[in-house]
Amino acid sequence: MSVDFDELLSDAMTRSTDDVFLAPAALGRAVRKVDRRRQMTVAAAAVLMVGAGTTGIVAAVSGHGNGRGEVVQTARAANNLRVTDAVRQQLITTWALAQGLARKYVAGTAPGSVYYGHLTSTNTDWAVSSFTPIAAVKSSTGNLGAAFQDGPWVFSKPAGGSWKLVTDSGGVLCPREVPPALAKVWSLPTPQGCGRVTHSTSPAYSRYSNARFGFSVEVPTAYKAGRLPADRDGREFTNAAGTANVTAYGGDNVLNRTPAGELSAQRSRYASEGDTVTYKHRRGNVIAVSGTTTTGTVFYLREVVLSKAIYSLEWSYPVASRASFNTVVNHSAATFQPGPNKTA
Amino acid sequence: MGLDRYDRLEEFVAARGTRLLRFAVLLTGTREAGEDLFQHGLERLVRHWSRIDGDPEAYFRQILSRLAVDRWRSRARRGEQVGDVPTQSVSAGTDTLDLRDALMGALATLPPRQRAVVVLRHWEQLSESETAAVLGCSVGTVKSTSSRGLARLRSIVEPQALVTTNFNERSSRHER
Repeated sequence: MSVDFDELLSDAMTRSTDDVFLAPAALGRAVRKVDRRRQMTVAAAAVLMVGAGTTGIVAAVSGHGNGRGEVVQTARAANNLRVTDAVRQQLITTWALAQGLARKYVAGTAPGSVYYGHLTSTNTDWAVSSFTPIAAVKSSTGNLGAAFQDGPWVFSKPAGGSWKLVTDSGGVLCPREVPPALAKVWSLPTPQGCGRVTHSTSPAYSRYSNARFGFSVEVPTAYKAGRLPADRDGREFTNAAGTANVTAYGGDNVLNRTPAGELSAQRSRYASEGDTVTYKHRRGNVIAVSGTTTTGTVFYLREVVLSKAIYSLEWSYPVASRASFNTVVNHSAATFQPGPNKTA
Repeated sequence: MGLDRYDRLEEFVAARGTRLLRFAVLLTGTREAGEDLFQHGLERLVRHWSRIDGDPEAYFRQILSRLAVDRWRSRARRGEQVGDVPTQSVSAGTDTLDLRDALMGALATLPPRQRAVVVLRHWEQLSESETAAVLGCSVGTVKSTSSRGLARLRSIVEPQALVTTNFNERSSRHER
């Protein structure tokens, strides 16, 4: 068999997205919501829900995005399935590969952590599991064990397809992180709080610590944590009204930027989006950029630029409420502790 | 700001949204991350909609591409999942279906910029200069990034694929 690599690559990309569809009905409602709430485009856009699935237009909220959407997902029938050893092994292989870990470092699935089921409406298998490391990893002083601290992890597998990692629940599995029908048949408990925020000594703030990059920051306790990205590089927190959010994240300094270069790049990025930069600051390896958007939002970015890593704290809140946010923004900036100068 | 303006936005996204969502999925490596990227891109599109002078699809594609290589909005999604990871190794008895799975798994492991270049060149079928314009970089950067990305894909897939498959490489397509 002779296969042209270019054609194979193009064909693979096309076929792998054949079952991805947009939900125009959901979009229409969302766009009108943007129109009503255009003062806060950022918040409104978060409800632009995308439907995807082999059944065509599916109004999907649960399991994707931040759960603030309005679109209602129809009830889905689901079946609880017996977890076979083959399934466990597949989950371990998939998870290890996604983590960049050798399979040999994973001892197995954590006892009592595995859920396995089938969602009829999408003909998709779902599973939830945590994983345990082998003894050598447990005693390792390296970073191998860190990857095992998160979870439970959520997986899905289309009929005839292979498992893929959907998300890391971030330490607490919230029922909203799997389709409701499955959460029901699995009888998933609803834990108090979904996220990894732990309370600090201050009653008003909680400290968020990122295990992967090692940075931390205090954010208002009342803010709701968004979904943990699967590569676990940071987290977004949103106030109850949905008008303000703060995002803290780390990243490798892949472009080898200096603080001055990073400051210039961030200024350019905001300017290219039509935003007005009203403040910029650099002292040592710390930079800050602030300004306003055309939609009446204040942005504030603070970064610690190291040779191998960049740690960022980004705020967005209404201009009209600028004064009331000064305290919390300053507090988070003051408590923002970067991680080490190393790649994660 | 009337609703007509958003009606046109609706029309545009209804007509081209699925294609662009698929593009976002390829840029990020997973459906969920692609949906998140699409939403972020749509947020930008809405913000700038009234000022877009020209082809909105090209503009949206540019937004998605740049967001995909942006540190947070895509790095958070870059490898956030490893696509449709094949659960079986591609070994003896491999066929085109296995290769597709292996390729998509390999594509998901590429750094964001390499993946964006590969997707723009091989799925959107853009030229090197068009790809450079979308990503805001030089043609030289596109050449080198594409070369590294494709080499990495081959290095991951080819040793196994060679068991039964011969790639008929057409390197000239990457050099235009």
